Amino acid sequence: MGELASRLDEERENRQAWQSRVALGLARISPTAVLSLAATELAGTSTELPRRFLDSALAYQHEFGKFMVEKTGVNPGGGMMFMRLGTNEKEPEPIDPRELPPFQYTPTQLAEVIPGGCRDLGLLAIFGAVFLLGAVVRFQHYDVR
Amino acid sequence: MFRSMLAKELRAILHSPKFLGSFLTGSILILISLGIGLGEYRTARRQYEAASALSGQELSEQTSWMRLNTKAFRVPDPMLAFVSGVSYDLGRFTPIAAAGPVQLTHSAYADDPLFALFRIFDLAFLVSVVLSLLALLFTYDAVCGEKEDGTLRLVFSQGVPRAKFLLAKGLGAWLGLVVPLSIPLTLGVLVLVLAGLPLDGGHWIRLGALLGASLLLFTFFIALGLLVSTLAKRSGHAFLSALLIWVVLVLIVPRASVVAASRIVTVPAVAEIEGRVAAFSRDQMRAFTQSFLTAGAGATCSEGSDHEELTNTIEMRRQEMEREVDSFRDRLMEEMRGRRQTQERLAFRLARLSPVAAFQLAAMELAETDVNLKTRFEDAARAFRTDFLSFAQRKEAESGGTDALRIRINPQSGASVSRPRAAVALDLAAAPRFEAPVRAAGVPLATSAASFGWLAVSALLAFAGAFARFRNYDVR
Repeated sequence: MGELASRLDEERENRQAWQSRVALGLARISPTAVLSLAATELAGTSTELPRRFLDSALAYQHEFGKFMVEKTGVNPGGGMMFMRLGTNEKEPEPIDPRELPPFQYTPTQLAEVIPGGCRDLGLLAIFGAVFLLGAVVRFQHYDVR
Repeated sequence: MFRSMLAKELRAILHSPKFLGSFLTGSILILISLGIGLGEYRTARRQYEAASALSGQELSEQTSWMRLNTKAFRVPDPMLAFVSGVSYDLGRFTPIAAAGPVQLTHSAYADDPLFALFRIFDLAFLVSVVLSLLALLFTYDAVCGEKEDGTLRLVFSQGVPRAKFLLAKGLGAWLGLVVPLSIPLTLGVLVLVLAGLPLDGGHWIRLGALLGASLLLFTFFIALGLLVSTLAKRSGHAFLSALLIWVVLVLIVPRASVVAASRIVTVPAVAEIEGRVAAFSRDQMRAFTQSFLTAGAGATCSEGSDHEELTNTIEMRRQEMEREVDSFRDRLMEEMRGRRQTQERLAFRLARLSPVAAFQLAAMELAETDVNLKTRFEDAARAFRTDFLSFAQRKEAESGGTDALRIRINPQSGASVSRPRAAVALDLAAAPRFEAPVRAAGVPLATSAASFGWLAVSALLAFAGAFARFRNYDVR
């Protein structure tokens, strides 16, 4: 069942990625959309943001699970409640939160956004050049009278 | 004379090159926006039906009254095809269970952030952004353009009253644009109905009001164009001024008003509320555990009724603790909601300085895709949750046994374990069903009345300004 679920999830993700590529490709017909996409890419707030965060969260989940097994011998997953009864035992020591592995989200690095950003900025430059060239060519035969 | 001036205006507009381009663009965009709206509504409807069916099946397979849970789904409204509002930003359902708050989750934009990038292109967007620009395009040079051409002097050499001239300009532009654009709009709505969009009487009333608001906004921009035209001496200056005013009204004022309101009235974040509730809950749990240990240590621990009484006391204390936590959460949420409502009211009042924002607010109110959609739904879901959980608790009590593994500890006789009763299918025939909140058609009309009023006043003020300015306009 788990395998089927991950296969279906992977299929969905692949189709969604393809849909996204087609949509953004078509949107790049508009220079405004190109600028919008370049800006969100450079700011790290593009449609890739949820995927990046979930990847980091998943990696942290594995790391946290390993820590729990090392510390307690079990990985309770969703949750488990232990109740200790008895008045003669000493109080359990509080957990030191500094021992817990910290969650680290790596924001978009410059090296990752440069290719996409350069492509979009290049596209903007091409748009500008094409329209300017069109204006120059048309003006060559423009009737100034 | 007025009729001949009006006819001249209409001919000028209909024969102008910009009319053909504007009419074709406007028509295509209207049809596209309605087509997209229909597609999105159908998708939302299919998703709702599939999810509801799956949830119903999951509910029927449950075997424990104690852990009974379900989901409450938002029903897609056909008016979504015209005004998407905040519908795609809000979650599509909320879990209904003993644990966990009622909160909409899994919004369309959260599941598919691609659609959040440029947002849905709907009729309200078309009217407030594209058609408003078209209205300005046709009227920004109504007066100053004729002055530049030299025809204004000729017209007034015939002794034409200034008021009639300006009225003919305004009415000519209005008729020349509204009548042709109403063709693709009527066609589009007809296609939606034939394609099966389920519009009932209430929807038609709301759609009529939406089109009325669109007309008022359009009229405002025609009047604004005339006003700008009477203020500027050259059509180039008039165009720049009109564009600047358009940017301020459409793009700046609505957004700035929300930012200003958020700075003036602060609202605690939901995460902050949940953090405080979690801290209170931990304190309550600590006190409960302490009282449980104390009661257990002091008990005589004999078989039978004393032990049963202890168990019942602990259960009562646990339920009391849960009620206190729920009451604390409700108090904090009520406080937050009050501040949020104050913030919203301020934001909307500031935003309504722009007639475009007034139109957008009215459109969302009429389509019931406004910001209060979340509150309305979650209130109904909370009421349903209360009924649903009461039903489950009643059924559990009637069933006699318990679904839980019960461990009894007695220092004299030792520990005993009661197994849960055998899992059987639950009789859910009498279970309450979630009914999505439905408002009478008059309610959105009443709540959007202020926006309607402001749209009408804005249009009148713009016309009055144009008339006042034109009285002293140098026609030479």
